[in-house]
Amino acid sequence: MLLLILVGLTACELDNLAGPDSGLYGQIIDEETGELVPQDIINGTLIEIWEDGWDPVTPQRLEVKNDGTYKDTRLFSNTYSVIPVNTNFHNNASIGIDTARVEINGQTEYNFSVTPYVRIVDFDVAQNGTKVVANFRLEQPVDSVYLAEGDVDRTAVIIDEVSLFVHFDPNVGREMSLGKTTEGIGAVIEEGVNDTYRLEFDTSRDTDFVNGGRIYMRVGAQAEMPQARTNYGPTVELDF
Amino acid sequence: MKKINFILAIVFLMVVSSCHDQLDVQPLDRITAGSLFGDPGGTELYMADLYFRLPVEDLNYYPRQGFEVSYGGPNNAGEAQAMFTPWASHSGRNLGLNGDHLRWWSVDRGTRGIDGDRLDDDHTPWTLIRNVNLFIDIIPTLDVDDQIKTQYRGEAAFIRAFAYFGLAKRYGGVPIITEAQVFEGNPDDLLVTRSTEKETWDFVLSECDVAIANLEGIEVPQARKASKWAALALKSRAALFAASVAKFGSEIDLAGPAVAEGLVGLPASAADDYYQQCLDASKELMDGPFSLYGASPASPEEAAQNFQAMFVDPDLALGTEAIFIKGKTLQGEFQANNYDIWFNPHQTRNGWPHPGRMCPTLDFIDMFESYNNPGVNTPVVTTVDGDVDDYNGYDPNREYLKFDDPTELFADRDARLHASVIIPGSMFKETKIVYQNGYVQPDGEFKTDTKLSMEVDGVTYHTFGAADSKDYSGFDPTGSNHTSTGFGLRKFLQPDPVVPAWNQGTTDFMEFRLAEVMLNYAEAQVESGLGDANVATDALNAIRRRAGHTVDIPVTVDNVKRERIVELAFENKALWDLIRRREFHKVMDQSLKYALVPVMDLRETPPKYMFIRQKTRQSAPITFRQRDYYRRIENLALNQLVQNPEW
Repeated sequence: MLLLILVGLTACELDNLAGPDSGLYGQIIDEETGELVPQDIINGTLIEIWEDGWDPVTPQRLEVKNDGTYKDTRLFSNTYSVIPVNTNFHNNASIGIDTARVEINGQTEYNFSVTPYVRIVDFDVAQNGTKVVANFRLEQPVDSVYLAEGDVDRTAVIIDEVSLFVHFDPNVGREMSLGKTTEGIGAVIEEGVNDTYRLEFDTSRDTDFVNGGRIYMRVGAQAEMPQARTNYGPTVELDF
Repeated sequence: MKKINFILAIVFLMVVSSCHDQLDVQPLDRITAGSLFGDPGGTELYMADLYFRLPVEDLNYYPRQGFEVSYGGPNNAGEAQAMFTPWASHSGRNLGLNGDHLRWWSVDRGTRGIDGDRLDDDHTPWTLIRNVNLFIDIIPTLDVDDQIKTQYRGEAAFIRAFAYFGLAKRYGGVPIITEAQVFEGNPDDLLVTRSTEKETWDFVLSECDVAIANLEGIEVPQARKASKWAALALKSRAALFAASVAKFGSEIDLAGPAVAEGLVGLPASAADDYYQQCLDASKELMDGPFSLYGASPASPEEAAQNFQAMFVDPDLALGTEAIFIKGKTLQGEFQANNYDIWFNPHQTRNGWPHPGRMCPTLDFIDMFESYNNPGVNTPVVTTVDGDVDDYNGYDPNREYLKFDDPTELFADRDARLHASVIIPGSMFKETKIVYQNGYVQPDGEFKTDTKLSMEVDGVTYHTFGAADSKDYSGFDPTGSNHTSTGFGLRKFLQPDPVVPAWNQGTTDFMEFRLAEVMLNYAEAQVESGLGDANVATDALNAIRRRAGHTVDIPVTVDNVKRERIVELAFENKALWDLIRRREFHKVMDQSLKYALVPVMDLRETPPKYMFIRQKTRQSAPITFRQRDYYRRIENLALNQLVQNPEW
């Protein structure tokens, strides 16, 4: 009897599927400057990975961190199709991001080399009494693109608006702000024409900040492109 | 041995040949189709169950749990749909829409725990649609007059249209199933792919047409069943929804296979046709035997009384405004609703431990016009400088307007404010409702958000307006039982004392009433330029005269939008207006909710009231994500459908 139980309960080797002991990590890098492209952690760019061997298959979506890196350390070893969605960088007929086939085996690195819709450059922030004052320029690498294969006309990459976001959390951004100042643009950025901006935020005019504290701020510019997420400058920490 | 074989053979024969009539037993614990539909009363019973399961967003509807939430102790914190719009807030929670809300696909097992989840299975749209389809198959075989068969066919079409409307507005294009499927061994044969959103809306509208044609001439005096008029009202609403999705589709930015295949979204070119269908259906209804309830009041006070009474007892509006009513008669589980216990002010809670949840916001109050300034948004001014955009709390350097009685601030506002909302200092159930949060001490120091009292000239004053929490209804955070905005819900609440127990409210609900149809016409007219502008103007102003206005205003997009917000408030329509017009992501973009805080100035003799415009205690920025315009399709592994964008 004991023997029977022993035989019954001893599973064979085949049943022992490997656990989710692999992972995928990487960076989103500006092709031209070699720097990380900052992102939103809430409702920001996602890395969709579609695992082979399942039909129908639902994608897993990896959130990208604010600094432009991403990491998931608990994936099954397999081949995956990998594509970023809801990006703040170009992915269209002119400048495309191909769906990558990535064999994930162990902790695997995969980086994206991209062209952001717009960059925040020459960034300078000053504390002026109760005010935060940010001075910067916008720089647009590409002013128009073909959205889809076969398009006859190029679509202008319009920059909608630029905002200064403020929060007590270092993950400050469009989806995580207690205060913001916004300036509308609605045009393509041209050097020497409409590329210089100054945004102020007065902490004494907002109930959340009136008592001071350590605040974090970022400048973000919003492009009017399909599914576009905001492009950011560096995160700055200030004490009030 | 031969003998044994012989005996075995006989036994075998006996076993196999036992097919005697007596063994064909009819089950005694359930009703068979034959006996149910053999009796006209049985058919009516079956129909009543189908009506019960219509996705009517009545007083038992909550965005998280779904429909008919009246089982057990439905302890959902009273999270009503209006609280997800800019027009109301919860007293303690900061609510934003997510994937758990507005679902109607399958129901979570476990959230409804009675009779082994029997209700779960019944309450999915797919069971309802299957049961309607079965009924449509059976109608020709029923032993009733042809006239009744025609009526049944019309009612079935109405139910199916209503069900698909409930699906289309949530999911876009869905599988259209028009027959009761038969399982013949292969589950894959039962799979139906999603139709496009356009095909789905067209199906809803064509089912409405079937209902309208078959219900011609049928009288439904109690408005509890489908009539030609109810079908026209549904068509008016559905066509306006589809037209708006088509016209404003470019306001949003969704992508993916569901968009590429047309499963969500409508081409802009389709808008005019849908607007025209809305205009035609609305006009036919407006030319029918309906009128506004209390259409010409003598004074704003009378207008307010009429308007409030119509929702306390919709039967008052039978023969005038009511087109389709979902009635409640019995108290108890699966029967009654819970608005009275969730939403009474703390002072009239009558021993119930969880009142005061619904808090109309300042943004909503600002939408009610002043009779002196018709057709113009007039935010509530509380300071001499008139700045209504400063939400930074009490500022000793600003000069505030001061009042002997807090109701003076709202004296000139639209009657519907007083009919739908409990304002500070107003009467409810013969009780003066106290909403107050703080005072300015004679030495100028301001005290708020804390329970304090002080004596001035021999009189004791309290920050919350009274010493004991049974005597005030605002701003005390204890148990989320007090308003957080300075306002309370009045619409729908019964004048009788609250029965302090679950599932005791039997307030009926008007799902369709004439005013909505008239506003549908006005909106379709002004958005499309089709139809008759004079009819639209008359419709808009008739609704306003019923609310005590005397000056006509022109039909503009803004005027119609404001009118819908104040007229249809808390009727679970406003959220869908934001969805269909693709405005949700604009009004909820890192947005806060605001309160109007009454405080007492003890420097004055006698003390006077001042009001502070500021954010509510619990408010934090809320953003509507664009993917929430369409809900997540559930059970993909089984039904193999294409998922909606970004889910």
